[in-house]
Amino acid sequence: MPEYFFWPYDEVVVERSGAGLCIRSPWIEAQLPETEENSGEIHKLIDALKTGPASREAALLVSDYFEPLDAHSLCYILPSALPEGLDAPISKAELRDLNFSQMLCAAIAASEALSPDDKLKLSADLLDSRLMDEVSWNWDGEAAQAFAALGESFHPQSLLSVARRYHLLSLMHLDRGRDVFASIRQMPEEGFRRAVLSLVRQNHYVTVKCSSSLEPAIAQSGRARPRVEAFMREEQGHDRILGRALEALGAVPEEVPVSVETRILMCLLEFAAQRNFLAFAIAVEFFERRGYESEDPLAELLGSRGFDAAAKWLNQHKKINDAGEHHATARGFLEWMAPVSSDYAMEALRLAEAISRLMAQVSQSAVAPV
Amino acid sequence: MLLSASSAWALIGPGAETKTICLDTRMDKDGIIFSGNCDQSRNNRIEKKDLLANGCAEDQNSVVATRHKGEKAYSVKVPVCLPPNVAQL
Repeated sequence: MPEYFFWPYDEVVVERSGAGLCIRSPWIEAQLPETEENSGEIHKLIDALKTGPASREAALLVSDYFEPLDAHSLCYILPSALPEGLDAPISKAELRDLNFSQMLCAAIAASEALSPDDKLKLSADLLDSRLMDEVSWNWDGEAAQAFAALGESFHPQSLLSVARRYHLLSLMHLDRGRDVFASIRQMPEEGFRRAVLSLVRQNHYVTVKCSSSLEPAIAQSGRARPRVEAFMREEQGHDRILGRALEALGAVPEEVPVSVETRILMCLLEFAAQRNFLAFAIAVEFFERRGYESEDPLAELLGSRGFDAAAKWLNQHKKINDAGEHHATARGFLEWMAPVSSDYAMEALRLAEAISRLMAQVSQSAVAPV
Repeated sequence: MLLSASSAWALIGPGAETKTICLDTRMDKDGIIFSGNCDQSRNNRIEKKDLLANGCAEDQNSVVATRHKGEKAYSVKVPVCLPPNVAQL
C-alpha cells in the first residue's frame, strides 16, 4: 500500500492559542485542546511547520497531525514514491488542448445519458448562453504539475489535493450561493417558494443523472472497480429522496426547469467518467464536498419559512452522505492509480476546472430570470 | 508649561464598538472541535433563535470583535465562507 504524506495548504495558519492548537483556513477552523500529554508534541509541530516539507523528519511529524484532518480539505498530499505495478491510466488524453467552451461542447456531444433530442436542445441552449464567451482556463496547471511531480510523471492523489484547493478558492471567488440564499430569504411568499423549488430541482436533477454519469467510470477503474461500484450503490435512491422534497413543495419535476449550467455539469461528470479516471475522482471530490453546518443549508432555508416536510428530505440526503463519508470517497478511487503523464494530468485538471466552474454557477442559475 | 498641559478630554479613552460573531461548531469522534467560518449572528436574529449568555445560539462559538473610534475595521474579520453545495450526488 502506498504511504501518503500531508502538508497544510498555503492558506492554512497553525498557531498556539490559549486553548490549544488552532488550525485556521478560509473555510474552517479546527481547535485541538492542549493537554499535558500533547503539549510537547504541539511545540514540535509548530517547529516542523517552520522547517518545511523538505525535511523528512518535519514532513513525517506534520503529516501525522494532518492526516486525520484531510477529510476537511486542509492539506496537500505530497508526491511521495508509489510502488510498482499500479494501474496505468487508460486514456488518450485528447482533451488537454480544448478551450473551456470547446470542452463543454465536447461533453454534450459525447453524452450517452442524454437522448439525441436533449443533446440538441442543450447544445442550442449552450450556444445562447454566456458560457460560450468563456474560452480561457484559469487554474495554473503547470504549477499543479510542478507540485505533484514524481520524476517525469505525476502523483495522482497529489494532483487531486491541488485541484481540491483550486476548487475551494474558486468557489469562494465565483460561487454566489450565499448571496443567492440571502436574497431568497427576503422574498415574499410566492417568490420564495419558486426560488427554493428551483434550487431543490437542480439538486434533484443531479441525483437523477448520477448513476448514468458515474457508470462509464467502471471501465476505467481498474482495481478501484469495487469501490466505484459500491459508491454507485450507495447513491441509488438519492433521486427519490430529492423527489420527495419536490413533492413536499407541491411540484413535480417536469414542471420545474433545470438550468443549462446544471445540465452541462452532469454532462461534464459523465465526460470525465468516460475519459479520465483521475478527473472523475476529482469530480466526485467536488460533488461530495461536505459543508460544516450541522443542518443542510437548503434545508435550513426551507425550514425558515415553514417548509418543514421538504427540509426533512434535504437533511435526510445530507445525513446519508455524511454517514457514508462520501466526502472522503474520491481518494480511495485513486489508491491503485500509477503515476500519470503530463498530458493526462493536464486533461484531468482541465476537466476538473470545467466542473468546478459550472458547479459554482448552479445556485445562481437556479434563480436567474429565464 | 504648555508642553506638559493636556486636555482633560484626552484622559477619557476612546469608546470601542463591539459586535458578537457566532460560528457553528461541531466536535468530531476524535474530540477535535471544528468551527465554520460563517457568521451566523444575523441568521440567529432573523430566525429568532434563543441566545445563550455568550450571545449566540446553541452549538455556536462566540467571538467578540471590537472597533475603536477612527478605525474602519473590527478587530476580528470572519472571512468569506464556502457557499452551500446544491449539487451533491
